[in-house]
Amino acid sequence: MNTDKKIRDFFMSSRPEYDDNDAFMREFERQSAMLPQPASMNTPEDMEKAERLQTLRRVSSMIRRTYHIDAVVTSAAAIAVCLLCFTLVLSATIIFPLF
Amino acid sequence: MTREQFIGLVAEEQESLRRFLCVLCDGDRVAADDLAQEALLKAYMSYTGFEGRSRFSTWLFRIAYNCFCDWKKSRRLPVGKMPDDRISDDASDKAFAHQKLYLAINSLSDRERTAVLLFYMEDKSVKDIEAITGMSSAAVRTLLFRARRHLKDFLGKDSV
Repeated sequence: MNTDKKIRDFFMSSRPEYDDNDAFMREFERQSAMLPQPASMNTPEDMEKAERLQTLRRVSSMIRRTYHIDAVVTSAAAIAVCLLCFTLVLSATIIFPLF
Repeated sequence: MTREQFIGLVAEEQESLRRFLCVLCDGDRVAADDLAQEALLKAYMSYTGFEGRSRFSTWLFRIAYNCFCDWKKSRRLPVGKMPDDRISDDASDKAFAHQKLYLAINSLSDRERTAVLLFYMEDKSVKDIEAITGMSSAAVRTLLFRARRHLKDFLGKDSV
C-alpha cells in the first residue's frame, strides 16, 4: 500500500473525535459577547449611528467656534471700554486739578 | 462581515482546530480547548487584520499555532515527553484510545509533528502549512520527508 495513503489512513482513523462542539461554541459566544464588538463587524445600522454621531459632533463644534468668536470680540470690547474709563478717571483726577 | 457570520465560520473550523491543538498538546484536551478559545477570541478581535489573502481556516490555524508556541515556551516541556496525566487519567478512555497516535508522533520534533498533523490529519497543503507555521516550502517538505520515514517504520513494526 502506498506509504502516504497508509499514513493518512492511520491519522484519520486514530485522530481524536469531539462530541461537545455545541458546548464549545456556546462558551466562545459567551466570551466574545463580553468583548467590545470590533469595528469590522459593524452592521449597516451601526454605521448609520456612527455617521449621525459624527454629524452631531461637527455641528456642536461649529456652534462652539461661533460662540468662541463672539466671546473673544465681547472681551476685547469690554477691555477697550475699561481702558477708556480708566483713562478718563485718570485725566479727571490728575490733569483737571492742574487747571 | 457580521458577528453572526464570523461565528458561523468558526463553528465550521473549531473541531479541526481543537483536534490539532489537542494532539500538539499531547492529548491534554483542557489545555487544547483553552488555547482554542484564546486563539478564536484573538481572531475575533483582530478580524480587520485578516486581509483575505489566505483562507479563513489557514488564518485561524496560524493564530492558534502561535498561541500554542507561546504556551509551550511558558511550560518548557522537553520534546517528546508524554505527560503522565494523559496516560494515568482513568476518566479518559478517549486518551487511551489514541495512545497509538501519540506513540507514533512521540519521537518527532515539534516542527515535524506540526507539519505531519497539518498535512495528514487536517489535510492541509504544503502552501497552507507554510502560511500557518511561517516555514519555507523547502523546510516543510524536508520535515514531512523525515517524519514519513519514521512513521513508515512505526507502522511497519506495528502491523507485524
